[in-house]
Amino acid sequence: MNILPIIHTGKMIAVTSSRETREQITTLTAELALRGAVTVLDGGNRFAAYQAIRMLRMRTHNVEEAANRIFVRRAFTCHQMLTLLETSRSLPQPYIILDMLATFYDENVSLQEVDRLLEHCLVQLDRLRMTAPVVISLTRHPERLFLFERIRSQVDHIIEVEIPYPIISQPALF
Amino acid sequence: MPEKRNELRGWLLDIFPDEQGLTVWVLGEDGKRQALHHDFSISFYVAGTASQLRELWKWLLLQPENPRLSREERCDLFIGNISVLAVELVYPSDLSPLFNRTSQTFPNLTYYNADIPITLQYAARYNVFPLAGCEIKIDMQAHITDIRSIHSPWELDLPLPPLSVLSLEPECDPFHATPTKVHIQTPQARFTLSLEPARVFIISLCALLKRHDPDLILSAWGDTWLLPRLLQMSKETGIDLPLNRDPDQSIKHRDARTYYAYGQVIHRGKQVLLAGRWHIDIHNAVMYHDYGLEGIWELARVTGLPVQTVARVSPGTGISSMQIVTALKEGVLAPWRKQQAEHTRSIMDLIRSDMGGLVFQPTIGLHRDVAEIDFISMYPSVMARFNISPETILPGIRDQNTDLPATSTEQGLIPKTLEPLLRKRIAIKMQLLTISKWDMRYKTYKAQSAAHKWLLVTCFGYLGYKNARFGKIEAHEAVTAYGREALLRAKEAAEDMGFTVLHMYVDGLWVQKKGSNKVQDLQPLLDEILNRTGLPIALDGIYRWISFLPSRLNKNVPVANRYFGVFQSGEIKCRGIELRRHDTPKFISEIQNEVLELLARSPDADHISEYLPKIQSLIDGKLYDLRHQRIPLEKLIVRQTLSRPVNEYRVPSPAAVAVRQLEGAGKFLRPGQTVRFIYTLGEPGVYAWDLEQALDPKKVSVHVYKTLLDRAMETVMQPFVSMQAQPFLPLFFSDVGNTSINFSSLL
Repeated sequence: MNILPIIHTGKMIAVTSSRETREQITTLTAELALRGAVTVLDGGNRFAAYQAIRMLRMRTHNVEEAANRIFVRRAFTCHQMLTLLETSRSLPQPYIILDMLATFYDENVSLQEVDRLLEHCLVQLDRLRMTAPVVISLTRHPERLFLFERIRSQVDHIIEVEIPYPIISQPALF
Repeated sequence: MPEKRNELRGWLLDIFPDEQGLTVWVLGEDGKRQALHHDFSISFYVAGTASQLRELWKWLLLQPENPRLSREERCDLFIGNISVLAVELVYPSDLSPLFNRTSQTFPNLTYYNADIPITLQYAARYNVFPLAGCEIKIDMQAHITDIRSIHSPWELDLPLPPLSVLSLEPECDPFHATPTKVHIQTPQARFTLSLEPARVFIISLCALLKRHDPDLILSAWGDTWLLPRLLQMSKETGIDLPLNRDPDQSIKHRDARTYYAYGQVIHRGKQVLLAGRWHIDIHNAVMYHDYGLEGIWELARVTGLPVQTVARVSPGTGISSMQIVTALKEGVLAPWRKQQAEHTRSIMDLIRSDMGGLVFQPTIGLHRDVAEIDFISMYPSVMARFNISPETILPGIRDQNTDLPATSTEQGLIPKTLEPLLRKRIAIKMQLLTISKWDMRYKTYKAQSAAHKWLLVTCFGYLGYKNARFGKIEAHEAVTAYGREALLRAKEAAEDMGFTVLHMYVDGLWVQKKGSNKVQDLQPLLDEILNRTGLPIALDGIYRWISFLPSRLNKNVPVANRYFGVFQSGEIKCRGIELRRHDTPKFISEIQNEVLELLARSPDADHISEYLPKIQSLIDGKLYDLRHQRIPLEKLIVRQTLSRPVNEYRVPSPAAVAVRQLEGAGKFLRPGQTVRFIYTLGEPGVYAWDLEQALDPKKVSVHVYKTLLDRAMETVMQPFVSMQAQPFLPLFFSDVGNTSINFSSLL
């Protein structure tokens, strides 16, 4: 997955997969950090900080300097995700929204409420992309597919990542 | 004490909203149970822009509940003082419908105090709590004009009201087979009634309820089967069953639910809640096996939650309730939905601060004369001692001397909530150390201590819990940072005083020093650690011997918190071995326990080999019983909790196979529920215990249970075999084709 060439200010790019794209997003974050500051808004508490550091170490001697250019904020509920976006300043540096819909799939939050919150989130994403590229990683949820479709209709590019399922073999108990 | 004309003394049993205010059920000192009325206005608060609040004001004026509206300055814990619209209602029962409409019409506003249980509001306003002894002033219409508690929930030895209890227990687990009889225990007698004919049963139960008028119906499977069945029988026979004491209220039903917490999928069965008296289902009550009714009474007192509720909710809800009561008393708003987000930080900061508890891997093997010392309630003590609370953490600022997260000086909400609980817990612990086990208070103190422990354990997790109203991830991380620092300082203190640190696990250390095997030898170390950390620490005990176990996969790799040992008192302590696992069949765990007890008889580790013939004989006997179907099938049951719906199991695990067998018989389980099965010969290799047809004992797979026993024995015998420098144990134990285990060949 090489989306660096299409990352530009004003562009919103969705990276989707039937499975989680954490590794791909971590690689992208490390690549961006080599070029400048990048902010990760983490919606699923899935940002692999150690993995990002390892990737930086493979690419630069100034690991700490590069790592200090990766900024992270986490949201644990969909309300917090909206707050994160609302309180994120419009800066000329890329935003990566990791697993953006994870908290919106919480079945304790009504469909009506997640719909309303996502509407507000999209407004904020539009604001952020005015000054910097925005990359959003998404997974689908069969019962809340409309959320996924809603974001898909707003983005400029959609990148479907094929991640093969590992072959599962149950270790024998006996 | 003689009562004044318009004043009564008694215990607070139950509170719930009625059409005109609150109904307050009281058990008087004269033994009379009565319902009193209390006017109780209630408010919720709304924040937003001035124009939004103006629009809301106009809308609220048109609502039938006719709320009183005002603008007020109130404190949001995360923001400070803010201007809010206060919406006051004369009748508490109006709050929920009005708030639901308001939040739907104005979803973008921020709401406070909108969904707080009425008992917590009452507790905060009048400083009373469930089961509190109260002085109540009433008028001629039995309306309360004033209520005052004569006790504090933080006192020891609070008097318990003379409660009347009626127990109902079906003859068997309804999921296993349909019960036909119910065992009934009244304060005077115990007897069994047949459920058929229904009319006779219901008439008999009605008579019992009227005669004994119980304050508590204590049931087995009452939530999930018995009470719904009784209500259905009552409906079918047309005989009214007075399960509720309060005739004006209806019985409340809550649906079953499955949720994810503490890394586990948890299932809570449906609930049946009564008014005016309590119903507790011992199988649906949280931690009932751990602290029983005494623990439930204590939780109700300290959390302010109603008895029936507190019996069924997690300790997390309990600690959250305590925080809400503190907030209400302090005039701090309780947010309906927490919206605060994490501050921005670099990943280097994230890695530095989000590290969890400190673990120092153990030195594998058998060790003699080892002392285990633990910080007392470490994380709650850290919060209280270092004032860690969401509003006191100064984001991004570190203490110049310690490089730990800096906090402000004014006492925070969380320390304020925890301090009295910590004080009471320590006071109870001191009592437990001084009184005899035969003292009538001992059992109560143990139960109360267990209840407190769970509240304190969860209070740390709740700081980082996404839905906690007063949680903040930075505060959660700060607690672990202070904890790590304290443990490191304790290690330094121990090493400075000549001890060898064998293992450290979050809040405990295992230390050893030649010649230090008496309690008084450890006191200087405890004093020094207290001096260096400021946190209370205690000696858990001195082991005659303790064995830290390696990983099963690599015998050179140590595993934290996996050990067993014997204290000087002879008491066994073990962690992380088969005996502690919920999915170990009783047959295995009982044998492992018996073996440990035999080992514990040895005065020291050097004499253990003398006990091996007895162990050999024990194992031989148990295997003989297993081969000859002499082990009750119940002891062979494996219990596993379902982590997902059965159709999501991609590999047919034994648990999934058993669930499918049950589904074929029309019995369905949800994630979080436990499936019980027995390993059997041939395909499919398991038999669901709750199938109607009983299992033929000859079909039990002796081979599988022997393998499980081999593993359990390997765990506990391995250190002693290693000690004797014998060939490695698995060589012997892997010979599962044999139906005997021979220890003598090892030594």
